[in-house]
Amino acid sequence: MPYYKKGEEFYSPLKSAKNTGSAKSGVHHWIHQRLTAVALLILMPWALWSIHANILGASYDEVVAWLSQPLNAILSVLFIITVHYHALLGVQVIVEDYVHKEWLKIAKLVAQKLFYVASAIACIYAVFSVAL
Amino acid sequence: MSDQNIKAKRPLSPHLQVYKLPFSAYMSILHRASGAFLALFGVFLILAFSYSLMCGAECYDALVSLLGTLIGRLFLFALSLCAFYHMFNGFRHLFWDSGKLFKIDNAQNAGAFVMLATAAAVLGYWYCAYYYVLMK
Repeated sequence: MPYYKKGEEFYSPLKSAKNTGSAKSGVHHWIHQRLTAVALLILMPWALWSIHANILGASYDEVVAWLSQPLNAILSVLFIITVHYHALLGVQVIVEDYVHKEWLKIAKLVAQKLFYVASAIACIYAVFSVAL
Repeated sequence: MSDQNIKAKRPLSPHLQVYKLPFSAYMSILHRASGAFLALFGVFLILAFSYSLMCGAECYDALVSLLGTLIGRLFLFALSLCAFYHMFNGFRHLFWDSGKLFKIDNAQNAGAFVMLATAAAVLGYWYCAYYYVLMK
């Protein structure tokens, strides 16, 4: 079935996409949000437990020693990536739902994407520089 | 069916001023609010924590003493509340995504369970933090 009604053959697909038409993508967003959610159901308890067992009340050197163990460094990087990705997907939906000025919405979406990617890279860099 | 009949039969959307939101609607709002809080401040805490570790002992101790103030502790408490709530309620959402818990009773009960589990987990978490870690 064509996307246009009879008599609307000369409208561009952009008209549909900007109103109620499908953007032809988005399922991956939903799936990735669930995938990262399942991953966080494992990583978040690990992080919360590590805060108690290894970080609270520990000195700087003890925390560095904890983070320098390979398993902890790997799990930390996984945790950082998953949290940032899950957070990015979440705030994207919030902005899409509540921000209706087109230019502001796009500006916020772009700014968020840049911020979360930058923050994730900064965190991972920090973990590597401490652990290695 | 005429146009007018169709319009008359359409369900009205809830008018927020006069509509009493069900319990699960409040939980849904809280889920998003806690998610937004975590996405902003939780991510910022991870960034500050890892950056201070890279920066050195002085930075790290400064961050720890900042988080140790009353406002810092309240911030961490709010963060832990959001984290546990979002985690437990996210688990409930995953059940819905797999087609379970759709009956109103089941959804409500699971919601009440999430609330209780959140309260228990947050209180237990802070109890342990104070009595087993900070007192050692």
